[in-house]
Amino acid sequence: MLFPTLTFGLFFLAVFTGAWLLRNENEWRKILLLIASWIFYGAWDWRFVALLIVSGFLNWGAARLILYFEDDARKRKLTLILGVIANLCILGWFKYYGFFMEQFAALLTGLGWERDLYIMQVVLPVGISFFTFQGMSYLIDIYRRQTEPARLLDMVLLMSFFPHLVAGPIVRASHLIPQFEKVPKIDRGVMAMGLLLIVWGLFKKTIIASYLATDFVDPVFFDPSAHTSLDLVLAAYGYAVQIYCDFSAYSDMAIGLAALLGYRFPHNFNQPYRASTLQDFWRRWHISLSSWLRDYLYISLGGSRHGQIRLYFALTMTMLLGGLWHGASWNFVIWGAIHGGVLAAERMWWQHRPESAPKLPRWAGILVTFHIVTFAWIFFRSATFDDASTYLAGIAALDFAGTMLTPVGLALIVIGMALHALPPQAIQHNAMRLRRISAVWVGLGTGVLILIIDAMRAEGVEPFIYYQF
Amino acid sequence: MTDTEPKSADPLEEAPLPKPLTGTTMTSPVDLPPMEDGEAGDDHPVRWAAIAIATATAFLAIFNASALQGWAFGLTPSAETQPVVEAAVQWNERTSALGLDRPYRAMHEAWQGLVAIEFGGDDGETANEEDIAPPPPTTAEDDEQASEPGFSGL
Repeated sequence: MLFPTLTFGLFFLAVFTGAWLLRNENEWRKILLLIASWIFYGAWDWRFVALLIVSGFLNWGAARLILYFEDDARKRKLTLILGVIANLCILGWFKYYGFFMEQFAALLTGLGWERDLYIMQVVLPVGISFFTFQGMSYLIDIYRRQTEPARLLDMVLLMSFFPHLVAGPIVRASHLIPQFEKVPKIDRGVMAMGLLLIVWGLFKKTIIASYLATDFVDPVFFDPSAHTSLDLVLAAYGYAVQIYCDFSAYSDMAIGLAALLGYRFPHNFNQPYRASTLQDFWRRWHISLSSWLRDYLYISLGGSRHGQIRLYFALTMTMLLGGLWHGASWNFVIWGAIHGGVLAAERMWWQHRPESAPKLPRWAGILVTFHIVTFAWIFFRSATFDDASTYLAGIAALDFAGTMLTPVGLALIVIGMALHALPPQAIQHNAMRLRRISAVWVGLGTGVLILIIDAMRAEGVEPFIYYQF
Repeated sequence: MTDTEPKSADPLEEAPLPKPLTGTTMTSPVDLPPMEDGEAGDDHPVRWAAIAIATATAFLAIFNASALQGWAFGLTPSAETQPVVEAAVQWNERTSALGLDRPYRAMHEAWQGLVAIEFGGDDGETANEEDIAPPPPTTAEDDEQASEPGFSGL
């Protein structure tokens, strides 16, 4: 069930109505949201609803055990480790089993021990990377005494809650469980923001991201050798815009839907291509993942507390694993290595830069950072390493004779980039105006905007890019 | 901002940009400054949102009935879904007969014309009636979501 479809719209209307009819019965309200979340998830594959429930029980139980062993530090730590390993096993089985078996078979072949290995085809449950990370962060927070223990219902709802279930933002227990404990108190501002974010997300996804994907980026990346250098360069920019408009649209809609139900989700994007350093980029892109990696991986790997060599190692390793989190592919590892390497190089430069060295102007920093990010996107988007190599070789051929990009495609790339020049709080400003207006006018305005978006969108609805992760 | 510059009267200008999350703190895009004295009342926010959503839904049901019909065509054929399909088709025919689908069609046609333009002079004449009214999607389950037209439920 994709957000920008009528099926989801009807589903959400029913959930919205039911949730607010039950506003005086918080427990029943949460049960309704839980059942709705399972229906939402079951629309992909009912079998995996059981996985969601098991995962919720597992993390709730492990957290209870950590609390039970309050006075025994060794048992507490052992329980945490087992709980994290259990989550990683779930993730590893569904996401990385095939990849590692293929690598193992290639290794055997390389050593001259070729065998016909039976490799099962494992179906990847949608959103598994997100809900296992949420489960692990809950266990670690409980271990670190940074969050209060959750009730079973709240824990299962945290992991199943449909607005963030399949592609984030990664909402931590310490953020959402306290909100589940009572019927949310909301105001018109929250509701206005919810409506605006949903319409804004629809625009970015169905017009910019979908058009660029189907009419330009996908065909170019499918066969880079059949396109000119100009096409390849423009498709790299196009993909930079597409993935931003696609993923930030999902986040906006998730945040908006949660807001209409009365819950606050965290920021996940903040005009990432305005970043003037790569460190700045990671404070603006997929904020809930980057902060997760920082708090639970980078710090656990030593962070900046053990000298510079350890810091560079922690940075690089965090980004390598962050790359692997996206999928079982060497291209994601390379993508992570590029980000980790540049982050480490930036740190090194700041720490050892000669006093007299000139400082890069901010605009130049933005330009350089954007192109590093876009270069890394080529590996992220390409199906294989060979495809990425062909792509880069095609750019290096400097064949600028013509392009398949249309004027509308070019305009959408420019608009996607121009979104970064908007005032950072533009939507909030509009929501502050909107909340003063009569509901009927707001509804008519919303209807007109959705009608315009629907008239402009491409046929069909492409799944969100981050569904595959 | 230096000390000599006037402070912005806008409360959002004072709001910090989102910072990376920490264990217990969080900023959300939906956090707005509270309404000031003298602003329109903040009573019954749920009713306000419900009326807005209901109005938008009714508006879209009237002016974008073809999306409803397309969605109905995408349902798995059965005795239960047949009345839904018939109702959606009848509703679309009625609104079309009244000309209520004209704004959508005009916008869609104009957009298709723009999309068809290519560098080098093609003026988009290839956009035709078929582009505006696509045939009903196939009923294959795998294609259901990818081919589902319209989202006029919000």
